[in-house]
Amino acid sequence: MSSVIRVEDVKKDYFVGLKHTKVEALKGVSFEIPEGSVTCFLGPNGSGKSTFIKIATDLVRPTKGQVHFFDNLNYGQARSRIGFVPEKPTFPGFLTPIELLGYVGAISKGFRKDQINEVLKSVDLFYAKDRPCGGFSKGMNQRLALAQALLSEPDLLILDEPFNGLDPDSRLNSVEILRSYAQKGKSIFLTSHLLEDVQKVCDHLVVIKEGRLLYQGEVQSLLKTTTFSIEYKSKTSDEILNFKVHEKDVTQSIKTILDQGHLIWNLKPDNQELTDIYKMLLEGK
Amino acid sequence: MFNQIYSLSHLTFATLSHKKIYFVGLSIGALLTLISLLLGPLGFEEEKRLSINFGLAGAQVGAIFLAVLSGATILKEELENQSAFIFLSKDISRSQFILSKFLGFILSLLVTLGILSGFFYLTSFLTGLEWTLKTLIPFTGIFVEALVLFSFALLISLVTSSLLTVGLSFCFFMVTHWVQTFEYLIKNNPNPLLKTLGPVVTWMIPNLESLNWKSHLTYNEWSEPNVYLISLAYGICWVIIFLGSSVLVFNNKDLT
Repeated sequence: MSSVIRVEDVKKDYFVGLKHTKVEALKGVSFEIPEGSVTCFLGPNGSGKSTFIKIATDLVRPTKGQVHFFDNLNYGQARSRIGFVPEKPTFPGFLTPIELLGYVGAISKGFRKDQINEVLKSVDLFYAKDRPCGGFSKGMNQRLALAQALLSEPDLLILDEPFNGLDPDSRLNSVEILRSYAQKGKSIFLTSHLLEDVQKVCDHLVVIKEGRLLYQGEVQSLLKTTTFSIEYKSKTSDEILNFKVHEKDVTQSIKTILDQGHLIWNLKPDNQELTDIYKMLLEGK
Repeated sequence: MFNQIYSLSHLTFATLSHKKIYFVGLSIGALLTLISLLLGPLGFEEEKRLSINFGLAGAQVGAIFLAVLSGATILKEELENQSAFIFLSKDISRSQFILSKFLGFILSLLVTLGILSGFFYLTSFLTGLEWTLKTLIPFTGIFVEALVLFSFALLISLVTSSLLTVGLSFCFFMVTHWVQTFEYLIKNNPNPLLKTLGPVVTWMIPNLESLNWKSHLTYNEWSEPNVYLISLAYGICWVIIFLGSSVLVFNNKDLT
């Protein structure tokens, strides 16, 4: 499968303060995002996520390394196939969504005017198409930002914290929009702290900490069940007891319970949450 | 490419004309121009001259106010509210982005000067000024001066805060009007160090006094056309220098 983003040893140093103190935001990160995937870029605050997003979108220049799009293109060559939503976008308050998308469309390649209404419908903002966006709620603003990114139907969407500061309804709405876009075979690369939403929409994960890559791979392989809960009825007290065992010990545990004359009451796999996995990854387990 | 620059320039113009500073600049300029009507009678025999001079000064203040404040905020604000990130992620380069900001400002400045010159002519006709093509000359000087200040403020805003940019730009404005006096002082000063360094300094700072033609209209004393043309070209050269430097800085800047 071809890659939609290929990151090669990206390093970024910042120099801050009067003493020009060196801060290593990214310490040589390499990974690859397969085409058609929905990938979440996770990491604690200050891990270098936003720096990476800005490097990927050519807003910040890397100290070393390169980011390739669609196998071998740089951002300049690939930009017409990429839609980008920054972390906290604000638009001129006097513009209506139609006007704003008109301006954005005018500087995008392959834009057709009739796309505006379609895109506004897809992000559920069509009803507010003629209202100045200065009075929009945070959720509406975020959806408008998403609309401008979707305008020329890009093959890759890059979103920096798209669920940040949204109420549950708006978050659910955004998740649905992203899901339906991904179903068209498009690739999405996003950062988020809200793991519950990430789990709903993402199939790939890239985790970084302190500028270094911790994990890259499929979410499903991380969430693979490794423990089971066994409930049994004690032959002496009639009480229902339970314990957890690793998947490799399940057969032996059941045998032991039965040998002791107890009754197997229930056996179920433990569904792990992304939050637990994420914590384990950060702790280096 | 031209279509993209045109669209973004149009948006810049629309954004600038919706800003409070635009109306503040316009109001200050218009107010000063109207006040010239009241100040005229204080000039006794010089009523007409005083009105013209003060009216032109009003237009100049309005244009400079707009140039400095727009230059200091036009990029800074868009980088802070991240709307620039959206446009820069589309099919437009950073150089084209700066160019469209500049063209958008030119449009705003033309509208501002158009309105302020309207006020000026209205008040001046009341004091007996006859309209000729020549009366437009001081406004072209103000226009190019405002462009120099805008491009200077734009450059400075890329390396420091908006507040500091505004302060530095107003200082720059004052220094650029002092260069001529400085040249005169150097000429009459025996200090050899000043005589060596002075011309270097005066070369490095634009002399915006050379674009100040208010007195030409006030006293109806005009120079040869080539004087105006050379001065305009000189001003435009400084605009190109500052704007080119802004493009260089912006192209190599990390937009965090």
